[in-house]
Amino acid sequence: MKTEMSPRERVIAALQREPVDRVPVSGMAWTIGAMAGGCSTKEYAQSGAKMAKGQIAFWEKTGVDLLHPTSDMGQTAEGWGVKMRYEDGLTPMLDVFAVNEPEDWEKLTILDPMRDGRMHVTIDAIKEIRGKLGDKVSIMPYVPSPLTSATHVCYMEQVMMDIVLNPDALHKGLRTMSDTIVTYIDEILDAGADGALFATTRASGEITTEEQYEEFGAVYDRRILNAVKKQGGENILHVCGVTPHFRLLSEYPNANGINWWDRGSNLTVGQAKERYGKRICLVGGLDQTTTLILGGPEDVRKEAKQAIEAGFTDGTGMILAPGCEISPNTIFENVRAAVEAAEEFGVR
Amino acid sequence: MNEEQYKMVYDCVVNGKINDATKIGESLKAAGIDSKDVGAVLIDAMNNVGHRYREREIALPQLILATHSFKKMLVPYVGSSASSSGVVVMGVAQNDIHDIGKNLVVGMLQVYGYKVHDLGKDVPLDKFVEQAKATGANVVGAGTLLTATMPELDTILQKLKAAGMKDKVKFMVGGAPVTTTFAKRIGADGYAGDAILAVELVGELMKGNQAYLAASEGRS
Repeated sequence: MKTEMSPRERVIAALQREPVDRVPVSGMAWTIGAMAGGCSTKEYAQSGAKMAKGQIAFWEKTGVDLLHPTSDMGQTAEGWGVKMRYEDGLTPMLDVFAVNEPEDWEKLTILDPMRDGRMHVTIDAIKEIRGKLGDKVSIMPYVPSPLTSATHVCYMEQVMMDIVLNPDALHKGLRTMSDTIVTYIDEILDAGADGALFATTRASGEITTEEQYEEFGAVYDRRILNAVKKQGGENILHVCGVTPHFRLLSEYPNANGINWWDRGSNLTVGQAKERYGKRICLVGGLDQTTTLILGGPEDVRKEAKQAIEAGFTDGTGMILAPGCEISPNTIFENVRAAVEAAEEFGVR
Repeated sequence: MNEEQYKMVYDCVVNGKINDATKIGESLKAAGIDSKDVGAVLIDAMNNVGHRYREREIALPQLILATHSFKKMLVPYVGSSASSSGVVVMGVAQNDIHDIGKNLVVGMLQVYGYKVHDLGKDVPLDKFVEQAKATGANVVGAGTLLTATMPELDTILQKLKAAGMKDKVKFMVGGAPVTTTFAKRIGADGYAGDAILAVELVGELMKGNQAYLAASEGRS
């Protein structure tokens, strides 16, 4: 292990469960990047230069090791015909869905990331961030899994019903989206990203059973992660909810890390370290729903210290991070406090 | 209602036979079965579904199908019930379009006899106050799925206070990122971790109590 690693080296080493000089930190900064860069959320979502400016500004204000250039859930979905609503000050919202009938799943086509939707915004942002910051930061943009994408192109309630009522039609759509996502990840890696924050957000017991997620989620996720690994990319699986299918996700052959809401779910960082820490990097420890928005730097420091003590017991396999996107109302000092806590308590 | 009819209603909801539900509802009404009797079976069935959901034996697809099945079954009876357990105004906060949880809560409350004014999703915050006033609501519920829009829940509560409504209605919150801690910090009267608990919560609020009901799997 190098005595002092670059943030990029630090993040990759942690994800590969190799020794690190200190715990790396992610701020899970998506929309807040627009606020950091002083631009509107609309501009941030539609311009790679603005997104890069916002992400770099967030990095300058906080000192995080890992950035996730992302604006909203519609970057890929818009390519499939979803209509977005753009309003200044707000995260762009999915407004009109593209899949409204089971037959519509078959009508989806494989997208070109450089041309369709707003995937090119993220690709442009990655190039600019990498060009300006080099190894001073690791970059892993948000990329939705096929089942998560399905709930961006179709009303989620309908997707859930299609799992039972129209499984064949849904599978057709999932295959098409899967092919698109593989191509998209190729492009982000070529642009300079280290991998993807791969959103497996429906892999939680209150949304799907483990059997349902295996059939409609995992089978596609594994194929994509296999392609990512062949390209030399890393990945962090991002799961929402209070009962994540952690075992299922941790057993993906090519999974590197899992980001989950440890402070609100049924699995603490300490429990995850004990059960899964030998094969997966744990990405969490900070509560985006309470401490980061309601607390101050000292509260964050205490929470970070506790998380590091629970998850960094073997000197690797942990990235200190919130369990999901941080609110745009989060003060930068709180994220900075997490980085300072990693520097104070997370050094080996 | 005879045993065969009971089994038909129960089976339809528990197994989410959404395509049969309306026809069953119509046949029951044609047979002169009272809506209260149908509602009693629906509650039995949803208690079963809710229990299995809480135990993680089933998940959202089955819960949604069950909810839609009972709603469809009640369509022939809409407007036939004179009494109500209470009046609830419910919606998803402005700038958030994720309404699946809210829809489940609305459906569950309707089954349990509440009159629910469903404001939908992406609801302008003033509308919660306006509708609470207009309907004489006992409870106002607001939810959000996004961390980014959690502060809107606090704003709704402040608006209720500013309108002099705080002592007249109970305010409950919910949604994936919302926790007991958050609910208490903003001063909400109640929080429920899922749609099943939301029914229990409204019952407590109707008695004038505060309650914070985290799903047993969660820790906050």
